[in-house]
Amino acid sequence: MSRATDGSAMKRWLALAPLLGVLGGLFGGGLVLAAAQSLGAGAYARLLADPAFRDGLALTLRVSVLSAAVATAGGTLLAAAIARVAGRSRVVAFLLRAPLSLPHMVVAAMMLLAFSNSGMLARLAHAFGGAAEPADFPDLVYDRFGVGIIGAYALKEIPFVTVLVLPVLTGAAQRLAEAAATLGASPRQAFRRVTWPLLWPAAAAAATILFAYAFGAFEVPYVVGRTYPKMMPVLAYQKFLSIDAGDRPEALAAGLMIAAVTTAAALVYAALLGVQARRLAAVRAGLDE
Amino acid sequence: MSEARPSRARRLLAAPPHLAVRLFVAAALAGLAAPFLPLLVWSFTRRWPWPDLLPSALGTSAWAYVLSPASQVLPALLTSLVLAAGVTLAAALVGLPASRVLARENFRGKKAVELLTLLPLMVPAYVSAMGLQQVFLRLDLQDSLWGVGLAHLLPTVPYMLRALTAAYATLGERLDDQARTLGAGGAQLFWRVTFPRLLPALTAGGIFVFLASTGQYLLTLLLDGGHARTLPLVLYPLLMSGDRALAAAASLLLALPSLLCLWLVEGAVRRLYAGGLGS
Repeated sequence: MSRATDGSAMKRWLALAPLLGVLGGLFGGGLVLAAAQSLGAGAYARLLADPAFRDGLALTLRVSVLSAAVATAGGTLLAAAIARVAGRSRVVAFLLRAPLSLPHMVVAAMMLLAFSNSGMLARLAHAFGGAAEPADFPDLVYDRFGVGIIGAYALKEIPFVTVLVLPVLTGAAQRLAEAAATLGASPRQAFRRVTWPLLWPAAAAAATILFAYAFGAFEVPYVVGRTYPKMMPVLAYQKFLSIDAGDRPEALAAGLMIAAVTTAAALVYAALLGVQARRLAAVRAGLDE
Repeated sequence: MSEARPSRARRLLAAPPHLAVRLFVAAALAGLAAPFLPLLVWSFTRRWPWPDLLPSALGTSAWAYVLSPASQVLPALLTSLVLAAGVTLAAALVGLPASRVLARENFRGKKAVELLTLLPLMVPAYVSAMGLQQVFLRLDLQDSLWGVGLAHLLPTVPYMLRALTAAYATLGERLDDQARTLGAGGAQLFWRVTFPRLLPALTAGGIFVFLASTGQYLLTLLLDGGHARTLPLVLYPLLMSGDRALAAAASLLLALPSLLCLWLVEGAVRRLYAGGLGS
């Protein structure tokens, strides 16, 4: 149909130009400029030698890994349960999507009201004979371990994982598993041979997105994080604002490290999407037979 | 497909362990929705001392303050909505021609373009914004809503692009060809044939872009920090004020665009479909 002449190639790149302007020019160009401003003056070496940065990096890694793991496990479990009893319910779909569309800052505010040491959870603990004073209740919001941040992400991302994984469990995989069952496969065999190979790439892709999101997101730790240690995005932002001129390259260096980790996650995600697409194509081919 | 599965009633009767699964689903969904309730109650609370489980005095003073001119919330809401509408329109204009090419053509460099559209889904846009600040200063885009709007395109355009590319891919080219044979061309072909069929994807992508724009905090702060003109920037101090009634009312307002979109726009799309868009 489309002739590969110079004219059509020109038209093609003209159609892509606005996109390339936004993503290549603004997004990519911004990253290049940030990298240029972070170099020299030994910003990376100074950051890596700074205990506040190292503690922040450890907290950021812990929070991103744990929140991604908790949300993926919880979301997949919930998807499996929903697939069994209410795979097509509109109400369930709405309840899942409501927290998904909320701004993260609102979820962080919910955590403040629920988990702070005079919040609802502490009051419930008091009513049942626990915590006599707010100070007796463990500080779950501004704690060193990052429970408040992990909780906020889990609350928000469990439905995200469920929404991503549910189609795998109710779509082609389910039909193929039913077909396998009619052919005499045990439920365990059907799961291991059919459902699992389709399920894990979807769950792993969701986990990769969540890890990258938690590693780079600013709002939740800005609201519920404590002053030490700080999550990387908050650290980068506060160094960026600092009036000390030496802090600026460090801010951009921290930003670039966030960009590097999340870029790596994006590559893993792209690979997992490839695996998932190939598996789904194989399943579809199997169903057609 | 429906013949292949047993009826709902028979499945229920045949599988008593489903009751436990049902309870689990109900409890999990209730747990996800539960934090809304304290938010709503707190926003109407005048006094709620520790360790009471219920407020001792209700009132509307938090809402009265948040909605009063002193708080600047209503003008910020308006600014955020106008900004988000502009960003949504711009994202559609960027996404429409590009998604058509990405869905229908194979060319050298396509893989690289696709990877480029994936990156901003994961790499936070504020790193780019930090790098761009100097340039924006020179171009008079710093401390301007135009600059903020441009920056909001970074995290949002990829979503619009994905929605539209998927729509173009399922659309196929046969209908275009038929319309062309019947004499339609150019603008007429797009508005009468292609556009109505892209509308659901445009709406879905548009809702996402709109919500993502109204929710941006750090990007806006970096490029328009001094003015604090958008809703998240105005509400953040109220959120952190220590006054829980104020914080609750502020968060509910911040959630308002999302909840409105979820209710109104989804209903509108459904009616659009019911009205026989495809015919």
